[in-house]
Amino acid sequence: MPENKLYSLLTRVVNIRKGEETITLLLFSYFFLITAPYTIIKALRNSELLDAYGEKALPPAYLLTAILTGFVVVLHSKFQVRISKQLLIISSMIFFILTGMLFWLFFPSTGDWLRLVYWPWANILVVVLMTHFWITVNEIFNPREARRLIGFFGSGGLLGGVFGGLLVKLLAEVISTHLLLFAFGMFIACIFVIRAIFSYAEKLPQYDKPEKPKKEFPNTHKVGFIDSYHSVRKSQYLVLIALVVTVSMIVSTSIDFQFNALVNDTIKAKDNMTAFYGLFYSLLMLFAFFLQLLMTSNLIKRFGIKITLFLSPLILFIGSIGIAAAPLLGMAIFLKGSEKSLSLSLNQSIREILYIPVPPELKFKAKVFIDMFLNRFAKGICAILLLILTYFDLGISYISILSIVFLGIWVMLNLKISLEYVSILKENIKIKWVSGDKAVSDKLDIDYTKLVFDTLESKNQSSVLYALHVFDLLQHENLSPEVKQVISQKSDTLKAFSIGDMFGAEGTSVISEFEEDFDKEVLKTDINEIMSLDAYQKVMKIHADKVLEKSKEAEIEKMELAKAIGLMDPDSPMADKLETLINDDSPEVARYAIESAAKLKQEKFIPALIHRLGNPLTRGDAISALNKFGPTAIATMGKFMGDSKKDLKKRKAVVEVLANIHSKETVDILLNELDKRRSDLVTEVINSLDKIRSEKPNIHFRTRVVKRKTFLLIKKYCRIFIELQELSPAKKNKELREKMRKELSISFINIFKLLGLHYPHVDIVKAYQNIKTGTKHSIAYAIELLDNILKKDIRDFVLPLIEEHSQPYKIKKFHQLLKTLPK
Amino acid sequence: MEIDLRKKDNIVIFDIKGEIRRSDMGNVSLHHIVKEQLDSDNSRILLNLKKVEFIDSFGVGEILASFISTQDIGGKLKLTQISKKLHVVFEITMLTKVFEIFKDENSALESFSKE
Repeated sequence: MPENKLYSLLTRVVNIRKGEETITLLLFSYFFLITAPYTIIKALRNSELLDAYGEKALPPAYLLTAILTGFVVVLHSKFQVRISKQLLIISSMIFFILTGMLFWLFFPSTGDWLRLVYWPWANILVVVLMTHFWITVNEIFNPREARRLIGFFGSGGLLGGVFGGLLVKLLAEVISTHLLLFAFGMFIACIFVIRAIFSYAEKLPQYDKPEKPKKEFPNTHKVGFIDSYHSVRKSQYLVLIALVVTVSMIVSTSIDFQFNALVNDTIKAKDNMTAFYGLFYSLLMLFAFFLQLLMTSNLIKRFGIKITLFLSPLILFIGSIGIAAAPLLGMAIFLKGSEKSLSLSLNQSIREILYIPVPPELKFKAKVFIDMFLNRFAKGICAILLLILTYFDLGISYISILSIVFLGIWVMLNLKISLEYVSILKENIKIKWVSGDKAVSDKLDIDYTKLVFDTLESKNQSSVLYALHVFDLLQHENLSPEVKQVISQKSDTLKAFSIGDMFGAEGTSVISEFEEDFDKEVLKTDINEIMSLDAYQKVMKIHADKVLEKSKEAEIEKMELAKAIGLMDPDSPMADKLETLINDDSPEVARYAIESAAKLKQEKFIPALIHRLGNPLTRGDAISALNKFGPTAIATMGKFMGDSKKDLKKRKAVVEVLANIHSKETVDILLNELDKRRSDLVTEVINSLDKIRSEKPNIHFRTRVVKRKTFLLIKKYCRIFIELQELSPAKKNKELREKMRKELSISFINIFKLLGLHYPHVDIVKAYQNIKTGTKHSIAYAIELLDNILKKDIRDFVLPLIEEHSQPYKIKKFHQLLKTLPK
Repeated sequence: MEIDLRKKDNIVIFDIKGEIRRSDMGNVSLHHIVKEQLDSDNSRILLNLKKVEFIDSFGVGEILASFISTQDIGGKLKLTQISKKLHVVFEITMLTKVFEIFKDENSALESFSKE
């Protein structure tokens, strides 16, 4: 079939992407070809044993299976170290075909003991083949792909079960044990499918592995039983999975015993029993198939892993209560039917999803230990408990109570694992980059750095300005000898110095002179005293008036004046001159005045500082100064920001300033702006809120406003996306296309920043960064994390924007979203 | 200050000439030009300071603001061919802890490709 036709056919039943069709069908067939024969083998297993020994033989059979599985796992581990996965899987299959042939040959001629050997053989077969199947799936698909396709593979297995069961029902009374030949025929066909799967997988593009093994999951090259055991033991999360598997298997075995005991009590003839099992498993698989196809994915998608985890124990709890009250075959059929169908559909999918955050190499080790060994070990534990209960002749009702106790433990473990699952997902993705502000502020004192540069420059400007800068520098406690050295260079020397001559120079050191002659504190006190003298203020006022009258030629003098005022008392008469200096035409004068205003912190300067935000040459200084005003400037700035008649550039700069004042008042002002029907500051406000959230995670953000804006941005994103796809590719649209792409990108990051305001900020940042620049693996983890932490009302609208889909699908989906998004 | 832009291996190189200082700044600042590049999805930027004679505190602010904007979107901004004199001042003020500074253009370009 041409690939396109196959693709369009498969897309009707499964959420498949281009290029996945062949491998998906092969895996579907693989699962079908192991479950169909297994259903035949299992029906014969039950009827042969029960006919020969009755239900009392079940506990020893379970126990024998557990012991033998232990040996098989050890043997399997030894082989898996030495040979490739493909060879291991195919040779296991051949082994089961050959040994199965021996059973077929000797069943008619040997005694009942062969039935007792056949039981564990059949159980080991299913454990090994199922484990190999899921290892193959995990080998080929990444977690998100596997999650998307699990339902379809699962259906293949269930259809196989239906097919195998029907064969048994139809042919059991005619050919009985010869049915095994059908089973082996399907196994042989399966070998070819496995070969095709691995050949196909080898041609797939390089499958990117996670960047580094996590501490939680150390990666080693040794793979063996002990190693597998240690890998599980070292991880709390894998221990939890192991415990869930153990407990659920104990419950399953207990239910299996109750069911088989009631079948044996009710149906007498062996071939009738085989036919019953055939029909039962066939109908069971059919039910499970529909459950898998129609409900499993929807349930997980709708309720998430956290809630679906509890569905199975709850239903089995009801069934167990029922059978404890009325131990009848009908009740047993309901209980066994629920247990098995849920185990094959929902539980299997959930278990595979729980393995998602486990790195592939460790997953392989853990699966061998948990799915192969522990699974059967749990059966052994249950067998011992059943042996004790049957020894004391306690009936089915008591065994139901045993199930109920373990169902309680199962629920508690599920509770724990649902929490652990999300934390492991979080650990699996890393922050890719820190914010620019943090990257700088962690390593640098920007004000100090600028002061050093200013001091150097001031040497060439005026001795007064230089002295004022040196005085400022001296206030810094950590003034390094190198800074002292470089500041002390003569200006002409400075212009030509190099590393060698700088540190070797014997130039005059102004700072050294200062330090030798004056105590820093004494100097500061002296200067403050002089500057606060009435006489000084009067004389300086005259000087200031003269300087301010002059125009451009007095620039240096104005700079000196502006800088000096910063050292005076805020209430001194000279401070009044500062406003004029802030508004001076010279940006150099203005910036010194701005710096001084930040030192004096008088509210009257705030409007002048806001005015300076409009000039790119003083914008940075004004932002820095307003930051130093802190909460006192919030109200004035909030009013300015909210006035749409004011200059947009200045309003944007005000938003930037507010981002550095981390208070509830700032957040409320910014959210009010965001909540406006029309605001030309959306991106700036979101950036500022994001910055505040990252610095002060405890501040509460009004969820209603944030959610409303998130929905609006999602709408905007969908609309732009649809319009962009519909835009003709003509050259004339190039500019418009670029503009729309930019808008898409901005909307996308804004949606995440808003999510970060009411979900854990670090998690949202991690998710965004990995979705933007991560590997295929880390993107999958990021989406899985969002899937688990976002609430349903927002998750259903955010995930479609992120998940990889074909463009036609996305357009269709976005149209749906636009219709369903809250108004 | 004059700025010429060129692109090599998906990295935008800013060849800056003159003095990066407040008084020499035209209508468009260095940070503004960097932001334009970031908006056009060019997030790997190299500032070639070979012909820069002087940087004042405003210039430092401009380079730092450019660095912050680039870092915020997961990009990289690096410096190359900085004069010995400036390098000393950068070291003293610990700017070398923030910026990756390379002796020559090739080693800077190579460092981008390694990431």
